[in-house]
Amino acid sequence: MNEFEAVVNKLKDFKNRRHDQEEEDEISKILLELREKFVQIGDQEKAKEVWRLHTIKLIHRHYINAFKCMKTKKFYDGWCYLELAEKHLGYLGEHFNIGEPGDPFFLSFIKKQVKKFQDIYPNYIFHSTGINVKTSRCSICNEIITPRNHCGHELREIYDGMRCVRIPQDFELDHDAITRYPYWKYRVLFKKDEETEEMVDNYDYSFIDYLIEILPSPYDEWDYKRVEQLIPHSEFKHFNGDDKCPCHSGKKYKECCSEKDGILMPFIYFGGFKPLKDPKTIKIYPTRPESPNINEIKDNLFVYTTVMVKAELFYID
Amino acid sequence: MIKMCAQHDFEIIVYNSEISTDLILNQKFVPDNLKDSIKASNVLFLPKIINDKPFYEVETLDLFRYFRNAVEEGFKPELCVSDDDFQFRREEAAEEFFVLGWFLIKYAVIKPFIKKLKEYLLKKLKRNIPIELKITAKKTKMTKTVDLEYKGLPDHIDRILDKLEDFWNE
Repeated sequence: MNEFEAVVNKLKDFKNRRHDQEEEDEISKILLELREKFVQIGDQEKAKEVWRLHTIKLIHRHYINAFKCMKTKKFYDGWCYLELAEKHLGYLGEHFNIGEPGDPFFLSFIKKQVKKFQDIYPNYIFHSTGINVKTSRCSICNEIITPRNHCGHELREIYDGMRCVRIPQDFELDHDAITRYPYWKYRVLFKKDEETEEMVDNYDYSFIDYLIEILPSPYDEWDYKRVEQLIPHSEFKHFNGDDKCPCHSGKKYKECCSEKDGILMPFIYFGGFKPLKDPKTIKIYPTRPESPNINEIKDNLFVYTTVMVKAELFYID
Repeated sequence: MIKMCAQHDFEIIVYNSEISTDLILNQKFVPDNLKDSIKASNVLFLPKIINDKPFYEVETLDLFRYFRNAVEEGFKPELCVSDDDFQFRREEAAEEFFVLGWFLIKYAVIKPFIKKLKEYLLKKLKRNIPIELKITAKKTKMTKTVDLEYKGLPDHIDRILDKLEDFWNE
């Protein structure tokens, strides 16, 4: 078996791999050597295959890192790794079929699970910027690209086993906006503690926290379903009319559900685990309250800050 | 007049337009040394004007090159700014559509332009995402200019041609 096939087999055996740094470095080293070898002999197709394997390795690494972070309650970091896995799945999908029969690299599975994890994260609020780019460089040859002087490397194509992107050189920030639908999902807005001025993550991670506690491995399948259930008023005796309604509408209890037959509450069912701690259990969990109203945040913009931890994502792709 | 064709996966808006090459040549940002080339062009990439400054879209660099490489097919693409003044705006909020830009197209190359654009979208964009573009075209000197805005998946982009024919046959 040659080195290339050995790496393919190793990547297919993702469930039994150690996924530690030593193993990661070992695979990376082999892939780097293979890429250099193919580039040297001018075999661009093979070099592209090496890029594919490298990207598959990255997808698994980011997905596992996301899982580890969630397990250790570093939920925001987990969110960032989920985004990285999602981005690399997208890049791979530009050139190769992710939905291969039999899903040998488990990519369809990861794609599905990343989306589900993201769905049960809190309703984050993000900031996004608009930038005016005057000049940008090609990531392959490092040349400045202008409309009439183009290096010839096409955006998103694979050259020498690397994906071509544009790196902004001369640019200015035009505007900053608050949004629920950002291009980069890592740009989450957090509150700043008024006294210590440190970032406070006060988003409600109860769903993900609950799920990750009972999920044994990132490669175990799980699913969820959103439902609504009528809860009797007797369950909310401690609420008075001026409190916010338990249905999370944001209105006062007396102006919302207090006169109705009950309170229609959103819930989530988690299920489909193999194995579960208690396989017969299908858990039911109330959905989170809505995250802060976006207009309220605009009024208190200065108390929010952001964590720019993924600077490597700053490119045009 | 505004016509709309809304289906599940695309939408085309058609309306009369006042844009012309002469109007563009009078813009402050158009340099003198480009004016002849702009007059001669049959695929003119129009900028978006924000605070009196011209801005292009993220994809313009690569799309412009794609058409420049197809001069043998009869395309004479041009931009309205020099390389030194060229800049594009990158919006980071997730837009519903991927905006390709605004193009002033001469009648003779409308069909090949749409064909070439579709080829680019399917081969080079590498993403099956809804796109948005605006095309301004003129059939004869006597007819008014018409604007078409297309929003939808790349697969149906040639439906622009049907809409144009309908418009001109009225």
